Amino acid sequence: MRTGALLWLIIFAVSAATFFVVAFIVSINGFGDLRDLLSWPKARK
Amino acid sequence: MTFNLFDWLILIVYLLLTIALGIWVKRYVEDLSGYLVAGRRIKVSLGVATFAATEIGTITFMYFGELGYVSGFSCFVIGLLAMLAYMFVGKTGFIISALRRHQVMTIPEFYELRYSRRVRLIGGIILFLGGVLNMGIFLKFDGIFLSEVMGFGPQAVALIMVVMVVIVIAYTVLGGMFSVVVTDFLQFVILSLSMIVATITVLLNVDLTRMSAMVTEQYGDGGINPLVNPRFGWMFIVWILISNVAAGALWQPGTSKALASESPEVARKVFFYTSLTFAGRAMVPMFWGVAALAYLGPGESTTAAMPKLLGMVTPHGFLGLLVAGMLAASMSTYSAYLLAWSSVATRDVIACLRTTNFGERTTIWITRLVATLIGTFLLVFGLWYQIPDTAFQYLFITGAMYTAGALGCVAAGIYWRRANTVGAYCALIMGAMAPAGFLILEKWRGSMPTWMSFITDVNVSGLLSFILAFTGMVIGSLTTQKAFPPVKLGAEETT
Repeated sequence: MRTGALLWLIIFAVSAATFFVVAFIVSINGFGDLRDLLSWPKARK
Repeated sequence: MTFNLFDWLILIVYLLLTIALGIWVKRYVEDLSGYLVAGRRIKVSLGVATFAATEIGTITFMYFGELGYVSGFSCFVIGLLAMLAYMFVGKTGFIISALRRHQVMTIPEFYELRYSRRVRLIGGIILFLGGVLNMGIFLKFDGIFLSEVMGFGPQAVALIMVVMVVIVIAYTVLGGMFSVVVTDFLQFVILSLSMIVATITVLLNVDLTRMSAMVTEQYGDGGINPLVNPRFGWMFIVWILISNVAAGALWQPGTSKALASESPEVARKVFFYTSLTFAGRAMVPMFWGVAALAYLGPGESTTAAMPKLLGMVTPHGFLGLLVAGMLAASMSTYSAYLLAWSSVATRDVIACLRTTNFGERTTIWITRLVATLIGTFLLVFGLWYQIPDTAFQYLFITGAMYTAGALGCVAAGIYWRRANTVGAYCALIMGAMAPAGFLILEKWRGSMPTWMSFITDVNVSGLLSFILAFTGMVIGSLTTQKAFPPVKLGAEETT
């Protein structure tokens, strides 16, 4: 495998891992934010 | 057909859940601020999820997958540029902090605060045209993706397009930003899961050494080094970097998520954390595209190769999840875009043609009507229009029609005291000239005189739009300071 291709694949691996880690954290914490948004007293009907 | 009963079950459950959730949330909309910016109550994690979901549609997978297929690894640089640009906006609060502080709901509203109502009207028209043209190819590409993955072939594209647009219009029109945010969150979770499944499946089926060998065989050094790839080069890199900064700060569907944040500080955090996903957002589908090149060879349709690969290698059950994820990605993007462009058309174009503003209830109803009309237009345009160059370059050039002028107007309006109304007109009009010229003249590329051929180079046109907008703002403002004294921003803040 060429060095340039290997370098891009390493960058890809780091970028993909970062994406999925952020997605995981946001998915967990987002539930709380969603609950807050929908429990807005002014908007509750 | 590669879809089986289990795949259909997953897909139908997902669709019903989305529609029910989107319509149920309608009860939370009680005024215009609730409809357009969800009452400005979005916190960081929800903001990141909804922003990332807006910026990832099936069209995103399609154009990045296509780039991977036609240019090899060298296109990965685009992911790095996007990450750097959005990180810059998030870290510095460039433009977005000021826009959030002034509590505007659409970007052209800022033009009225800083310049005049007419600038808002012109800016609103350009934003609306650029935005709707930009969105025009989404449906078609998404239809191609889904029909290939599900194994229906090209004859199902139109039907898939109709189903998708009807569902999205239904909940976006009713629930506004509340529906967009809540369904975006669900869609972000599902699309992230489907991206993991697809990436693992591709890694299990396509050999990395074969990918490297195929890229070198097809594209030589251009498949590794973006500077020597004929599609890219320095001009492309500079254009895409500037364009990403402008889009990050000023592209209404994304920026509206910052404007819906709890505070300017939350808006910055949303941008910064979302920027961390931007390299992966681009490189994951590009990787699938390179894998399609290695697995299927170079003779496939450039747009259909990547979805064809996913349809072939993804096992049943996971295929249903993948399609649900892609639908989720598309629907979250459509809903945010529909809401963004319909709100711009209503508040910044139709309302600006009158001397008095519409009432809140009327504004919401007009926004709903315009969203429905845009959806109908997308169907017709998507079926008829043939895009020039790659989808990626088409999207950035139509985006530049607006972002170039907007960057000149808003950045100068915030950071340069001498910016005035004439400069704003010049920036908006000159910024739109090169991209519009490209879109019109590229059809006659072969019969044009040599000295004019530069305008049909998408990279030149794109970069030129930002240079012209900047020049227009500076020269227009400096030469008319006495006749058109600049408006001080602080004195006219909205509350």
